[in-house]
Amino acid sequence: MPQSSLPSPRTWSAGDLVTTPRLRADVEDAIAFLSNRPMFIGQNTSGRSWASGSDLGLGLDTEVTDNWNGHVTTTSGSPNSAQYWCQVPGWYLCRSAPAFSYTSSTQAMFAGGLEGLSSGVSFGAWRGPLVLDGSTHPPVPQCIDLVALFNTGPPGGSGDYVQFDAFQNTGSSVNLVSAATQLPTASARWVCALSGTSPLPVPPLAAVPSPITSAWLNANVRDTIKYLIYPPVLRAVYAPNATTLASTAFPGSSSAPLNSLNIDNYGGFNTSTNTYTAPIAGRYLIAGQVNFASNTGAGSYRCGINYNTGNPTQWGDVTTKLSDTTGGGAGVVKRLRLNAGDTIRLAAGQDTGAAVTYNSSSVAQTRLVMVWEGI
Amino acid sequence: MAQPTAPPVPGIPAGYAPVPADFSLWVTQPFSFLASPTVLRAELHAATAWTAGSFTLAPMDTILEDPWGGWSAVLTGAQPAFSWLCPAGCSGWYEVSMTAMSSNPGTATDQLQAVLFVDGANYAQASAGWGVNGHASGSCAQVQVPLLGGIDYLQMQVFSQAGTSNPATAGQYTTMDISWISA
Repeated sequence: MPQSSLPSPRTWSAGDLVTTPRLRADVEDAIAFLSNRPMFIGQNTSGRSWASGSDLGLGLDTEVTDNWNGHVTTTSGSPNSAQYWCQVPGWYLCRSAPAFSYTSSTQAMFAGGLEGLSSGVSFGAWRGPLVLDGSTHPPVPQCIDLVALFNTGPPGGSGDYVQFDAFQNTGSSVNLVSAATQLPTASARWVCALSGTSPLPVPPLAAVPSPITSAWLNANVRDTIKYLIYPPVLRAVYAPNATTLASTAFPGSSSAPLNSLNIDNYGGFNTSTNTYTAPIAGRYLIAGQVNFASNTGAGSYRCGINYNTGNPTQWGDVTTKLSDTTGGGAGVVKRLRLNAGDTIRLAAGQDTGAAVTYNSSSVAQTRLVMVWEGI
Repeated sequence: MAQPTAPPVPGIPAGYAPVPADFSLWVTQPFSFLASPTVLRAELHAATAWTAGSFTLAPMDTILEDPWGGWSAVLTGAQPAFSWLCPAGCSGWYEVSMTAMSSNPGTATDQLQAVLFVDGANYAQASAGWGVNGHASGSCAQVQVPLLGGIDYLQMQVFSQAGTSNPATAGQYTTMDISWISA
């Protein structure tokens, strides 16, 4: 399969010759890259026993796909098959979803997570929603997040990597699920360059003029490529400041506090209002989570998306929780079509009878990630 | 204009004087697909019953967008009712996000799952959430799946331990979206 490095299209000037090498360097390489961005999906088929109380690497013994060969295939030691190593610098949309064979009615907490090296600096573990479960049926926690990987290198070498984690705190070992349709699964896929040109308009993709002009080439080749490798992307997180969420009957919600930005390359987010204003029309992937501190109340935790003002919250997870000492949370993932100027807020709700404090641990962030995916 | 298909990497020949039609083939069509890849967004608004302890097909009744026309609410020669057929020419990896919603399960041991079926078989029980005894419950997930254009089809099913139904309330609909992410 053809691969190329991150595209870097030329600027065309009037009178430039449209040569085959120039077209190959720009058009062929960009299409090859954008059609086959680094992507990895792996699964754990072992049903292995999982210790309580630690964020442990989720060894992935089965590769579903790994088109840039970034996955470590060694199943023990370090590095190991829980890790995916950077092959192209960029922001990677990562997911860790470990299913546990836990069937007790005693509530325990479960989470997927991510950790690794970013620009040579350790990060994480960052858990997804802290899933509280005593349903008597196996829980499937999942963590969805954007991770910046800067340094490339061979798997297990000197570059950056992301490690997929799993966590449970039942107090004793629990097996992972080994049923084929609930296998613990992890994925990472490249979605955006670390830097680029913004703002750019949505690619015009206008009809080809005759004769071909430099303006057409710049708009339809250069800027289109630059836009597609650096589309609007957001990662907003809650930096702890003792924010609480009042207890509200379902389906009431409040905007989740998001006061720190890791990437917002089109300047869409307002940390004072916790609001993302779509800078460009199109279809966005939206994934968010809310996590709370320990709470003796019982009721529900819920997470959703508030789209513009006056619309009902579009809910994702709406789940039970009992009294806990671990913290708990909920998540949401959806695709929405937005017009430029439309607003998005991460919605949180709980009805445990008293206000609850947002989790202040970096392990259990409240966060929102968004990625522009198409016109 | 017909929707473009997933682009092969164009082979740009040397020693050849291209005309505008060549640039349409090499530039406009592939970038049009990459800037607007295959998508479906669907919701279920009706109060459909979820049978206790069973996988139940989510008969999406509100198609928000399906520009390639892959959705069918009726049985055809190529796909069953309430399924999305991957459009011919659009093979690749797809990412599916699903939210399963239910009305009040009325039990403390309910579990709700959003489940992806591929070609009629259970592919992934992608989420599993503890249902709320007292009001509507929700469970959402994301999963990737490889599909062959014109052959493979997707359906969302909901697994609920309790006998419940889809809430016919805005904001609480069962939803599914599908997006092409890679060749």
